[in-house]
Amino acid sequence: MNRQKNTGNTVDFTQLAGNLGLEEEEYLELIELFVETGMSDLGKLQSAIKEGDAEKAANAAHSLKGASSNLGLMELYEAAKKIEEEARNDRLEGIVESAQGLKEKLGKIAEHLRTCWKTGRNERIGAPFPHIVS
Amino acid sequence: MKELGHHFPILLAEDNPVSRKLLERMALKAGHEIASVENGRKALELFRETFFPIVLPDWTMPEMDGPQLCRAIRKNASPG
Repeated sequence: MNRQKNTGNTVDFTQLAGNLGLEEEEYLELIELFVETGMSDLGKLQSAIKEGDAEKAANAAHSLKGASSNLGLMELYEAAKKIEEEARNDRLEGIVESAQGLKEKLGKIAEHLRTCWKTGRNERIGAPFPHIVS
Repeated sequence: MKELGHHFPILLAEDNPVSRKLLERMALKAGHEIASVENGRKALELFRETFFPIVLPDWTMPEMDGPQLCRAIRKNASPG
């Protein structure tokens, strides 16, 4: 079984799990939690942008930044870091597009995880993220 | 992960659930006991009940952040 061969996705969960000294299944459970909390943070970020609340936007991005960094998801980390910096400097205008980019990146991680569960753990088919499964 | 040969109870204060779960896993894998809470205030309450030789606080947390927790623990541990 090779879980990292997924449609155009460069994230290698097997390698990232190994970097942390974790079994792949343990890592996938963390990714599942990450997607769930990440979607929540993203919702907070988007509502903060609408409300013009720079501090709330920065805090939401900070949360995503920390979690993605700890899991080795560096592309997400860089995107969240940039948004946090912009928000800390009270520059919310440019964040709207960046937040959309972050959402797409998070969606790719969720999709990649779904594929991993389907190919590696049949019992999880259809069950991992009821709130985001299309 | 390098085995140091000693296992310690660890008190972890981390508000991010992903980071908290990850650190719990890593500590358990290394053979340590770990108690984890989501902010500094809860960590301080637990520390007052039970001594932990190692406390791992996040920096930014709601209610009581990492630096505040460290100051409170030092005050708590100081003689008199």
